[in-house]
Amino acid sequence: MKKLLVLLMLLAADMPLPGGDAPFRGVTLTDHLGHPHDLEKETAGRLVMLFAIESRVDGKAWDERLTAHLPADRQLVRVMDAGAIAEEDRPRLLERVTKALAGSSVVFVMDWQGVVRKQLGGTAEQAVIVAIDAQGMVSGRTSGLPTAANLTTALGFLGIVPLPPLTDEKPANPKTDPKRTP
Amino acid sequence: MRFLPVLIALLICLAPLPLVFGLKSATGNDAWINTAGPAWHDLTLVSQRFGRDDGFVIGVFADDVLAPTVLTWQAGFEQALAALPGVTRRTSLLTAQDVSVDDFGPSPMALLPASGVLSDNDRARVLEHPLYSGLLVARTGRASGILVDVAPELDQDALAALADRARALMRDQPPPGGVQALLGGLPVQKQAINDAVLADQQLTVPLSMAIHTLLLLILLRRPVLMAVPLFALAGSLAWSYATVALVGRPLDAILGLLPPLVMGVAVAVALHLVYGYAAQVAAGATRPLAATLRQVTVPLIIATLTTAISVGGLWWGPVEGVRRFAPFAAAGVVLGALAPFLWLWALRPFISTAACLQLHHGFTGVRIGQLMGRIAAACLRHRVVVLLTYAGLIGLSAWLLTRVQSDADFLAALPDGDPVRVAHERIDQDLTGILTLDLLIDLGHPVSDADLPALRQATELVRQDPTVAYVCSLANVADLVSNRLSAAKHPASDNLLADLRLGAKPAWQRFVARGLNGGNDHVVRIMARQHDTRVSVNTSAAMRLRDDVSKHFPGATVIVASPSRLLSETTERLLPSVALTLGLALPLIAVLLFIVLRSPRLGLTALVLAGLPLVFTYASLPVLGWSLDIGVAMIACIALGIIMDDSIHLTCAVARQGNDIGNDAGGAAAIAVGPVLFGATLAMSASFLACLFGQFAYTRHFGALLATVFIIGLVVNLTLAPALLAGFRRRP
Repeated sequence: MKKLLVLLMLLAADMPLPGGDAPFRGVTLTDHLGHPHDLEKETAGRLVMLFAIESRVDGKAWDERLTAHLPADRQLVRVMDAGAIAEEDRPRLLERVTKALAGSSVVFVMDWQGVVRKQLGGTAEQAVIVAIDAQGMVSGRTSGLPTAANLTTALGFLGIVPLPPLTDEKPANPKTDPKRTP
Repeated sequence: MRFLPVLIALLICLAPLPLVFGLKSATGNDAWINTAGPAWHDLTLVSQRFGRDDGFVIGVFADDVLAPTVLTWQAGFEQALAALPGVTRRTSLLTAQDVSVDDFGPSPMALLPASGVLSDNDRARVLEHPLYSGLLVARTGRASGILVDVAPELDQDALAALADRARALMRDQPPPGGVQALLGGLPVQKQAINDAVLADQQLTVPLSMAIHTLLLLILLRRPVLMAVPLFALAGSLAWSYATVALVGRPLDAILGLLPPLVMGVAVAVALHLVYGYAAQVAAGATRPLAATLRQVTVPLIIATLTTAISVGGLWWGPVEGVRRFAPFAAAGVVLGALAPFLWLWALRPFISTAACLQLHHGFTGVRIGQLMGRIAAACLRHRVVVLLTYAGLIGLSAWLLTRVQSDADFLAALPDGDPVRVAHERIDQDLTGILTLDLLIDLGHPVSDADLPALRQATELVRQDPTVAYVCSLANVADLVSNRLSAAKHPASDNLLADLRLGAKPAWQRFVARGLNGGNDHVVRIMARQHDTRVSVNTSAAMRLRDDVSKHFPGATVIVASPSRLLSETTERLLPSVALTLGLALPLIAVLLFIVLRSPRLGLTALVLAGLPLVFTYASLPVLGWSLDIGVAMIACIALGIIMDDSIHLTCAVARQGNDIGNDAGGAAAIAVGPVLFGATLAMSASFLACLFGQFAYTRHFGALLATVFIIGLVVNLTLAPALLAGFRRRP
């Protein structure tokens, strides 16, 4: 029985993503300001974070800790899964996002139809991080809480090794965490 | 050669034993719940919108339930609990979410800090939490709860299996020293009731048999004579149970009423046969068995048919469990009536003339008949007084019957040390109410901030009710968010509920749902828990709250759903159900009596004699301070047939009297059948008093009232029959 479980786990690790290996091929979405984004182009060689309003707190923590280690030209692509938001609540969500991001250069790509969720899978309660290579293919995927291990894994997808190594001993704080590692 | 009939009879009686041993006990008693009424309908409306809410409650009791050791144990235990098949959700301090505020508005956050170590502020926040205090944690910090939701497709058997797994888990992962974990909730309560009833049957059925044996020894005095009713009783019981097993039904609380019914019929029929046989032998009949059969077969057939009709009439009742009982009861009556014939035939070669003479002329024979005849004669002489007394009693009973209350307090009915009772009392006293109470308000429009003041007032109204242990609504969540916004120095939201819907979806979905006739977010829910007490008290509180809450929402539709209401509705419907089915059966019986007795007066008298003891017995309930519960309601079906049996024998005896006995047809009949009626009443009353040793309160009520109804039946037959039948003359 145990062997079977191990086998199933190994198979699951190698399972393809729901939408295939090039999840953003032909996908264009608008951000919270209404600007279109060709995700196939914009995600190449980057980490993409898919989160929903339910997982925004974890998403924010991922964002803060990953951004501290990502080079300026390979910034995190943030996709907000809004597929489950009712029609009448969408203006309010946009208003909230706009207000929250006012004064920063950060944009949220809004996935109103759940297109990205279909490609990347996962649930609204957890942020999903995927790494996209230069060919637009998924080169790595992780999810869950932004623990040191998960963060190190995600950065590792882009060949980034945080120094000093990340720990869980203290809460994430972008002001005190080391700025960037080469 | 004379052993051959005994061998045949034994084989017939022993044949069903393999089936009887394979009989299974039911794990619950859902079948008697009325699923056609409004209470069930409203509960379904709630579960369709908010999920099933009748799962398990695990109470955790400690000096400090927020201590790290307790929380660490609880985390491990809950992880294993969540993995059990059938568990869909658990709600506890570890899974509960508090509200924080960020740029998007309200945001869910874990109630307990991830470190598991609580500061004084954290402790105060958790213990005083407006959504969880009184539900998941006691303000004292000495009790906490784990609410376990179960899959909607689980039936009572699956729930019982899940409860066993949960108990096993509690044994395998016991809480640390000084901490106690107790399993409660409706599924285990149902199981406990069923277990208590079955345990009582395991005690009271053999005890009844023992009492029967003793009394039959006193009445009949010869083992061979005793053997007829005893073997008949055992054989008919075995076949009755085998019938249940053959159909593949498990033995539930209602089918547990079969033994007293079958016992009553078998013993009564057997005594009529034995006494009749003894009388024929004493009279010097050449073929006493044939003569006995000629004398008693007709009344026995009528009595059996009327009894079978009266219990079979339950088939048309509205409660499924009672309907299911009807065919088995009718079959049990027929089996109970047939078995004595078999055993009299089998044991006849062993019954000596001396034994018959001793019985016939002994103090339980002719002598007691003469005594009863004298009583009957006295009643005849003073028939005006007797009739007036009965008229007064009937009037008094009619008034008392209006005071009878249907009610049930299942928790108090369970034995004192029953683990479920202990758990429920502890959870109820120290933590929260066991019974859910949901008020759904269909506003007719999507809920908005404008509805919050009325919702707040309605929630407070529910909170003030003494039966309510906990209450929470969207108004409490909105107030919490407002307080958190204020504490975080955020500006007040211009549309608080829209922010809640957007940012705190789990909380929204717990309190808001689609309308009763459609419409998004039209329904708001006031979620409460009631103490586990009398269902009538809880139900009247629930209905009153529904009316009071309605006043705060003019034009809205308000429904209330609670298991107490369902139980109350079911209990209230039992008596009308029994009355209806008896009402269907009585005309049939009347027609049958009229055909056989060929006298409307005799037929009507038999109906009155059989019905009055039931009226008097039910009228005694308010005097005793007892409520009409399920067992008591079912007494009518069991007792009517057996008392009817006595009445028919008496009226048949009257019909047999010639016109040479003058005015006292009733008295003469009392002399003829009095010993049998006395013996059967004594044996059955005393044996049903065995139920007083039952642990379940309703078993005790059932036994005591059934014994009472038989005694009253004898008294009514003895005293009223002569008065009613004064001057009776059969038409030539």
